[in-house]
Amino acid sequence: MTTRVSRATLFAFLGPSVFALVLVGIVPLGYAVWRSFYYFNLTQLARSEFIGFENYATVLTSQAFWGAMGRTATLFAIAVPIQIAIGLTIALALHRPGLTLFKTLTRLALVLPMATTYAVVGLLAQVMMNQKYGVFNQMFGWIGIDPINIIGDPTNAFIGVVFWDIWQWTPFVTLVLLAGLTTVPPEIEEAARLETKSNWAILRHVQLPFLIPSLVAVLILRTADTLKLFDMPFTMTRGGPGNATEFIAVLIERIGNRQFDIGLASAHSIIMLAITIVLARLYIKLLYREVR
Amino acid sequence: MFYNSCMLKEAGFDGTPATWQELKDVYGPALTKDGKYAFALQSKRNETQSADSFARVLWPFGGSFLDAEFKSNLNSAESQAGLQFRQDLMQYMPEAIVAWDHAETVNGLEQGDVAIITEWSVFYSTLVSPDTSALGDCLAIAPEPTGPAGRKPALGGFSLAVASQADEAEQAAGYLFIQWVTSKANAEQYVRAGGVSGRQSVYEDPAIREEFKFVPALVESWQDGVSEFRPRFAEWPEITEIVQEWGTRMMLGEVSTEEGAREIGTRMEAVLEKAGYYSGDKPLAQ
Repeated sequence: MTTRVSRATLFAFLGPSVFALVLVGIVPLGYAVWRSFYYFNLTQLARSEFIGFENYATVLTSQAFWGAMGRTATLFAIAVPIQIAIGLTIALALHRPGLTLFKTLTRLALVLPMATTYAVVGLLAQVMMNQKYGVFNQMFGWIGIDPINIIGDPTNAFIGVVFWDIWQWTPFVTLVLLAGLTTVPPEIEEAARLETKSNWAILRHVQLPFLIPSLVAVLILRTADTLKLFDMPFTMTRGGPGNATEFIAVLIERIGNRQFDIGLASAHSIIMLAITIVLARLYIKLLYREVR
Repeated sequence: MFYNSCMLKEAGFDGTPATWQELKDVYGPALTKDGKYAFALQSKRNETQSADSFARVLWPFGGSFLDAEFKSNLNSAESQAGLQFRQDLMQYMPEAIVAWDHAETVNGLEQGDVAIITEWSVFYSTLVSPDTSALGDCLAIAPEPTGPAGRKPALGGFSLAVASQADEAEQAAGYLFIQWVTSKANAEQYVRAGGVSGRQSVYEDPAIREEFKFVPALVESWQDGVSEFRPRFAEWPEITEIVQEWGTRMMLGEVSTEEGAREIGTRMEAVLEKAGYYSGDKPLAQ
């Protein structure tokens, strides 16, 4: 016998959450869209005026924007495949039977990087990658490598950001893929292991099809995270040296909080939102498959 | 200028460089060896790059950000001389200097890696603390060197203002507070709390001069201090971002000083044009 829930009860339970989401999500989004059509600079409020798509034209013809997008895309193209490769390796290891204590401790250890505040990671990076006093160069010294100028060199600083992004988010990828591996029916996996000893064959033909939804989720989430990566590079390098680590979110912060051009910053942000939505749709359309 | 007198003495110097040129040509080679450096000019890409590094080498060489018409002066012979000087000085500075902020620079002096730095007086307390500094009695202080245009140190500080939008009673209270907090009676307490009082009389107190050894150099620096070291207008936050990016790119050798100065100049003028300085909407005041 089913019990009908009244509309009033539904609204009472769902209403506060929806209201909060609308307040912190939809309202600011609407405000950003509206502002993006205005020249709106906090130091020149008297000059605010509707300018249509001029901000969007400025963004799309801006060398700084395309430079930052290029750096962000490069970061994504390097970091995310490595995160998936390492994450999948760890997830497969944790999925195997046995070594329960080791697996429990590993799962706990995986949480630590994810739980560290982004900005703190950047501050840690500054200290740990210091050319004279940092532990990285100390360890390099143990194997006979001279101290490396990491944060003060454009290429090395970029590699540093890639490293810390991989350090922080590989555990997240691991845990998502591990959850994906639990959706593989045990009897199918067991039968496959009786058929072949090749782990690669089992991964390719048995586990991967069930991992596709998790991989798509990882791609969507990591794409969004990379596009909005700000705290760690900001505290680590401030976008420097030069503009070597000025990613798109760092550029947008500069435009909004230092140039005070909220209209232009809003236009940047709306374009980033559009890119994220398009990429998410593409991932789902091209990659998402469910096992029937 | 904070410096390690022991390092200088060991290298055969009985005093500090009188000029920036002497710092580079004489002190630089003598003090840069065995993992030690003569000088560190904090240059990280933030306000440190604009104020402590970029502006530091402009003024003593006769340069400036803007000319009298508020157009870029960064490609003038004097500004270029200063910026090129900084490039040449980098060989006597730590390799990662473009990533050094105040903390790294002060620490460099404290740990004996760097012989001379130019820093704000606020760092005195950490330089004399045995918990953070290995300098001990080796710490000494002097006014910074002179350039062809003289000694042109930064005159930085904080401002107190009363909002014109506040009502009369609040404005009156604001003015009274400013009078009280900047009074002679409070000046000593303010200095002891780590502030730099605007009252000159407090710096004549022998007890203050004894306790805060930077005072004589500080007071001497003020005599030639440049109040528009960084342009003081609402557009500076936008312009400093441009200086920070291109200033560090210059130091990395990605662009020449001429090219970098042209980029900064063009963008800076675009900001000032938009703000209304060239159309007469805003006065040419810094």
